[in-house]
Amino acid sequence: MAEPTGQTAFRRRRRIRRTVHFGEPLPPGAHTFRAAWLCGPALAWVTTFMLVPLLFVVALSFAQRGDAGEIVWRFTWENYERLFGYGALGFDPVQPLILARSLGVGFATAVLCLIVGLPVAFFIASLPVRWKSVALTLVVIPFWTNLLIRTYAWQLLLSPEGWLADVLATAGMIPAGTALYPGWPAVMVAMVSDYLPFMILPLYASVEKLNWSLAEAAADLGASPVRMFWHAIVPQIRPGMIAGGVLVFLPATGQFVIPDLLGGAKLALLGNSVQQQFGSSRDWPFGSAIAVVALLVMILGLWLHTRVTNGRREVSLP
Amino acid sequence: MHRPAFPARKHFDSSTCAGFVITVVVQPADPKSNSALAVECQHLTRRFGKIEALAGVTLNVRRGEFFSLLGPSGCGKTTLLRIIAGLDLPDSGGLRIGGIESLRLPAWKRPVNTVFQSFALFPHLSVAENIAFGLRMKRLNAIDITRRTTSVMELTQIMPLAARHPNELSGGQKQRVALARAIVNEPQVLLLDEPLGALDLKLRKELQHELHHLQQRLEMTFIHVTHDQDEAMTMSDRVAVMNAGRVEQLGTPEEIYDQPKTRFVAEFIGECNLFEGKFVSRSGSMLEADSLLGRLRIELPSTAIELAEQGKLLLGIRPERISLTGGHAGDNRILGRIEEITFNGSESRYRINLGKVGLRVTELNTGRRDVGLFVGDSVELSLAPDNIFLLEG
Repeated sequence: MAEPTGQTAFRRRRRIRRTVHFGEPLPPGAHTFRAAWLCGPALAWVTTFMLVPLLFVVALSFAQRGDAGEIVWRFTWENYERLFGYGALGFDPVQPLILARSLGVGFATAVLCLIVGLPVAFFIASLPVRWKSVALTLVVIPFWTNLLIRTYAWQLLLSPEGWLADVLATAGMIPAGTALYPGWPAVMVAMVSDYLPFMILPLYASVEKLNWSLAEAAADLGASPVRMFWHAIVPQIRPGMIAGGVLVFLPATGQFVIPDLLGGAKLALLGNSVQQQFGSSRDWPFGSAIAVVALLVMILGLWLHTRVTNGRREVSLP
Repeated sequence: MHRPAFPARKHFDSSTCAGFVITVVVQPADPKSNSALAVECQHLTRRFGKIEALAGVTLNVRRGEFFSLLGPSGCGKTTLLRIIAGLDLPDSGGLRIGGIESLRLPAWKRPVNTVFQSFALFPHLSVAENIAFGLRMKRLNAIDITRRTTSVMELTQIMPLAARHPNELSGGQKQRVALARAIVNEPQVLLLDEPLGALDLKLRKELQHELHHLQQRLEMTFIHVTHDQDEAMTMSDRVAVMNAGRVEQLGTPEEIYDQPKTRFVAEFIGECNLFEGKFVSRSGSMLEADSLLGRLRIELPSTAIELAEQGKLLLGIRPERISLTGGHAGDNRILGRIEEITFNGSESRYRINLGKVGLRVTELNTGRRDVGLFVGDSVELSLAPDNIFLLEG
């Protein structure tokens, strides 16, 4: 029996669309033309303020730094060599470590957000309709405050005089008068609380559409609650988990305000080092190289991810 | 997804050991479970807010029988099925599956499997993986899983579909996959929730037969929920007719059709002429009653006799049990006039006017009978005394 493959299915979907626009039939191409006009302003905006600067940064990453920190337009791979550890003084792992640490922080934030966000998403989805919008608004409210202010608020909360330190000291877990920051725990707490909405919203959208009869089928077929969750629920909310993961991972990887303020500026991350190169170090070409590599790594991650999820249709007897 | 590694991790606990019986269905050693009853429901009640879905249902399903729960939508039949499956809990009552008290068992530990009305196939798994799901949950080893999955796919004739995903299947194919996914686990009881409800008429007829054959071949207990009386009548060994959360009547399809107990059953299953009567006298199992049809002689089974002596009677007779031509000695004879004739191919339907009351009569067009009847003709109807039944109201 001839099985329809994924490719024929794809080909079938690609056919010329006759466009009828508000009752007015349009010749082929006219719709694209109109769309281009309507997109014009946005396109111009993105080109001017995003694409051109981005290309400038890419070009800059191959330039050299003059002695006074000025840019010397002479092609070199030197910035990239430095970034991968091969400087004038031999191998130095500082820069690769910063990259790895940033990716690690981004990944950890995404995973923690997922763990914290899942119960919240299920809880909101279980609320009666009129409370759902209230709950979602509550989730979004922190965005109405500036990130910097929220981070300073965390400093207050985590300071030696803060109630959190008081409670922990009373419980005997830390000596009295100890600050809970700077340090990795403080950074992660703030990161998770900042990026949680990015995780909750797509997760909630997935949970809301959940087909519970599949969960019942799994239980009926002998799946314990844990395995039922894994085999019948997780596959259904995977799109939300992925969307949320990407939405958290990407900005968290480049975050520099929180690690700076709550990590005591001792823990260099991608964001910090880019900021530093463009700021105090006045080495724009090297900063650009870091930015370009970070961008490539993230694009690579996204691409890998699409590959993995699309290739998940392979079938065999278990 | 996780596939069982080979060699399999074997956990011999009570919930999984049944899965290692491969070729024959062997009853567990527990003597209690050798009871001839597959499912026993005792006074099950369930409310959803103000709606009483089950109002005290007591019924027993015998081992190896094809049992149907028949009733209009909202009569509680699906609720009962979900309670047996463990997907819902009753407010009160008792439930034994295979002789073992089961209300406290979660769904995943019960020896039952369900074919859902919506099929509920896992969209991310192929047909073969869907069918293997239950066996994987029992942590069988890969070889057994493959063997049992393959043999069930052959049994249900879905072998060519093994690699497809549910969204590439037609309704009938999905139905087979859902069935295969349930029976591969060799449950003590298979629950079918309107399994043919989503299919078109022709496919439904075809699958009705297959389902019936399959049940006889597997000798598995089937509990089948449906609102389609044809489906229930053709496939079942016994039928429970439900209405408003109660079992109105339980019996073989013949019993239910020939001797309906209540007005609801008589009207829900098949067509029926109903009329009121008044008790006059009794001799043995023979009863005389006055009705709008005149004085009728009625022969009742011994169980219904006592009910008859209360005075006011609700009587009924099936349209095809009334004869327009001939009849036997001892039948009740009534004169009437044909008011309407509807030709229906294999049979003709007549509406007969008896003055104060009308009767519906169906006659088979066998070809042997002279169809010399026209609207306006006077006819003599004969009603055999044992074809008239007494209803509880």
